[in-house]
Amino acid sequence: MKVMLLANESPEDFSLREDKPEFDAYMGEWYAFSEEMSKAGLTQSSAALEQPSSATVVSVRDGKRKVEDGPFPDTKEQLGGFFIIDAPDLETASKWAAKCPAAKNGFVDVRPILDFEGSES
Amino acid sequence: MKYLLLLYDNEDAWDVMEDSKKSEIFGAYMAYTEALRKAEAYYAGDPLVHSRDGKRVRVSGVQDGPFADGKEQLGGYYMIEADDLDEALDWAARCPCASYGYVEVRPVWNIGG
Repeated sequence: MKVMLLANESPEDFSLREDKPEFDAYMGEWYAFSEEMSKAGLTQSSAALEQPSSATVVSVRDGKRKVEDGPFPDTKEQLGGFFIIDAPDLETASKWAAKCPAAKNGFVDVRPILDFEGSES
Repeated sequence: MKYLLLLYDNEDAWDVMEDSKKSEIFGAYMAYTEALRKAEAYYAGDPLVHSRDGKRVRVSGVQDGPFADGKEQLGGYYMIEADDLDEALDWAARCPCASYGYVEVRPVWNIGG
């Protein structure tokens, strides 16, 4: 099954991206996790996102566009990146999610991808 | 530049939606995806299953979905190519989800770039 792992990082983890000495340790954990998942043949694609402050929210009502700039402080943790993986089941996907660096100070949402006719991987 | 479009909507609405309405929205997504492809702006996209079938994982434990964050939940994503944020926002506004939920636009982090 195809599963999306959404790495929601704490503000503290996001701040590590700004500080060089700690940055290497922070990235090191991510590289190690990514490599382990790739070696296990799980990862189909992945991406890291820029800071939550770079987020923009768009909606359209009655033909009118509404645009709001981030960050959106309704939750403490914010999405920092994701992995699309091919896992045998949800249990396995959840075990991998627990190993994700974001799971320590933030959380990882494990969301099965809808498999509908005509979908592409 | 690569941008991630995160599609948020009221996922419970799908449980009670008539099939004809679902087909209409599905068609709108097919057309939108095709427009992205034609513009060579499409990298990837997937719809997600209702969050009740998901899990929220922390080192300290696992919480079963649905997640009570708010009415609107992540229902899918698109990874697109756009020259700049304005172009990405234009694509976001054209996404069917923008008209019944909202679309969050996040620049992809080009690490070391």
